[in-house]
Amino acid sequence: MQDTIDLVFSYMPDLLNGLYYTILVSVEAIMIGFVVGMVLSVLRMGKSKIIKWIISVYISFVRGTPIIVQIFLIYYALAMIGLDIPAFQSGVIALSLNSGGFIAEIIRGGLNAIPKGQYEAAKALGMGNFQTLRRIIFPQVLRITLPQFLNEFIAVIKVSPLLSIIAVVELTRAAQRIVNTTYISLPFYIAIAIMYFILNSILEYAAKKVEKKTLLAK
Amino acid sequence: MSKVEAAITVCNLEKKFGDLVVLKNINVKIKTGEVVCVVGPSGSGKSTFLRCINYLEKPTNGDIVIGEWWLRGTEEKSGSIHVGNEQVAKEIRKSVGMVFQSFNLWPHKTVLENVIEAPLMVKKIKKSEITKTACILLEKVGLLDRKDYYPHQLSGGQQQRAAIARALAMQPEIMLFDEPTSALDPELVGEVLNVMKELAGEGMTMVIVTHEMGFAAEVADNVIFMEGGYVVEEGSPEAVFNHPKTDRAKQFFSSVL
Amino acid sequence: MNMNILEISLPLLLEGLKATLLISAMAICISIFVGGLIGGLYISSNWLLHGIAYLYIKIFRNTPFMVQVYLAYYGLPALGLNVDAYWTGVIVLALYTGAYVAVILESGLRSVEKGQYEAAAALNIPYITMLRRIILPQIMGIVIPPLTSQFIMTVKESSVLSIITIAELTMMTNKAIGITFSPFEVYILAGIMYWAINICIERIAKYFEKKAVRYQA
Repeated sequence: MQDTIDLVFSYMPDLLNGLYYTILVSVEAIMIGFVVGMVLSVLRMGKSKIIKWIISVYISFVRGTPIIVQIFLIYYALAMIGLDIPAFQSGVIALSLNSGGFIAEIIRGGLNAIPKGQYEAAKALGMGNFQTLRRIIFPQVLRITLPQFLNEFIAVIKVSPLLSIIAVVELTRAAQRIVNTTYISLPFYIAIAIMYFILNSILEYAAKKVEKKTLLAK
Repeated sequence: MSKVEAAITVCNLEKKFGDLVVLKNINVKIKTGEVVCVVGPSGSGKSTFLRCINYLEKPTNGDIVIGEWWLRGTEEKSGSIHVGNEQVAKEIRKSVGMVFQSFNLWPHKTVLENVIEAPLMVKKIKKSEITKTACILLEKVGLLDRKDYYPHQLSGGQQQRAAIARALAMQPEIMLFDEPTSALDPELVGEVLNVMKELAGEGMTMVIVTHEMGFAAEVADNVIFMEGGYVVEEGSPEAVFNHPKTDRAKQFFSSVL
Repeated sequence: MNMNILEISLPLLLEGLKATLLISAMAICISIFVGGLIGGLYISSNWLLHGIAYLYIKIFRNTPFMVQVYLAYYGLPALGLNVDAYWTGVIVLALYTGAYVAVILESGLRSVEKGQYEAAAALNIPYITMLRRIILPQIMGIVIPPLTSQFIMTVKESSVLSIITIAELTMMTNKAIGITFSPFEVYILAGIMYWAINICIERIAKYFEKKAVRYQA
């Protein structure tokens, strides 16, 4: 037993490196996903029915098909176009496009909560559409939906192990590499399970704190 | 000193929602400095009429002229007229302010921030300057001590007074009021009406949709009675309230006065 | 779409679809029992029972499903249980889903007023029986929508089982791509199949919801 623990700890640098990439990939994915979600939301406010339809098909696909399929799809799609993008970036793109769809829906829920009168008051005062969105509507939406964003971030971390399949060296892949060299599997998978558990528990705790704060501010 | 000219001219105004005709052939002239109260039963089109003036509702037919600006009625499909109207509406809204039944203050900004937002963003006035003006306005409506409060911390009457200050911050020549006291508890109505009385006394051109007949009798220069989308009667409060000419007007006023 | 691609991939995908349906259905059914059990423990006032349920839920919700699959795949043999990949997959999926079902049921159970529990206790009705025959029927309307979303997610998660070589839809999709070299078309086909499963789940859920709402005042 003690030997096993020593063995795991001897590989800790590799595992921590993997953890670093897990966090990096997730942070990049959620940030780009946020931009994607915002862009989709703003586009959805326009008049073009075609654009709205395209966006809803996109969101439906991204939410209705397994993420692993989306990861593969992006990976192959990029290769087919001839873009030689490394697996890490490809994974970030896939996760961002996925998150973007979910975030667009989160924002849509937030927008629904804003009474029409807010827009009208701004309009009556002569404020333009962009100004109204930027100064009046979206600050409120972001405040209301912050807890859901954090949940989405936690969801991205829980999905990041799937990137190991396209050889992104995040935490799970790091463990797999060690397993392949040492032929010892269980202790390492237990180790990363514990690491994910700690990471997610911390984030969950932080999310609860933020949720309390945003509720108070109202 | 005051030119007796039409501040707002409304000709043949019509508004349809699909097949439902909500405003039928409205012809009204409102003079500078006049206080006009629009009264009538629910569903008569009073609010729709008011909201056409600053183009929050788009008239389907007829014209609205405010100063040098002209809003044309759009048969639903004429996109180009609509685009032109939007530009005109932007200009109109610089000199026409509106106060809403549900106040519509922005909850994430303090009272002061609500008041200075539009001048800051639309007229690009410097923050230090507009803050001074805003404080004067807030003093005028009796809310200076609440300037750093958030809307949810204020009573309905206080919120509406803040909304009035916000509209006044843009220095409008005309103020539109859409049932400003209908959403207030009775004991809070007075404080808002007092602010409006003061404004009227200062010579502001005001168009007020209201159910407060006593207020209208006291302050209005002209009363418009609407029903079923038509202007049924028009005249001084004395004439319309006490000696209505039409049956519908007689019926309405006998039940509310 | 090239007819050749369709010819080759469709049979493979349909085979995978069958497997996905079977695995998901079994996992979902088992998860309902698991979730009900854990949910019942979770609201218990006995701190030990509550603690066990709490740990179960926390562990299955705060670790990635993929890691759970690996743990089961390598861990079960180590415990002496030689389960083949297929059943390992079903069990892990069921236990994982069960944790989420437990949380959904728990908030549903909490929404029933305390008096109902007290009346049952006063009549000496055993705890589990009470949950099953008195409480559960009342909360159907509340829990069915979130359960529907969860089960749709379960079907999507089943795709992860392709990593332990279970021949479900995603694995078959990759196989088909390996043969036809047309990722786009095949993935879109697979996407449509997953989407079709979603629609079916939603329909079934609506049927149960209609039946349940009879009880509501």
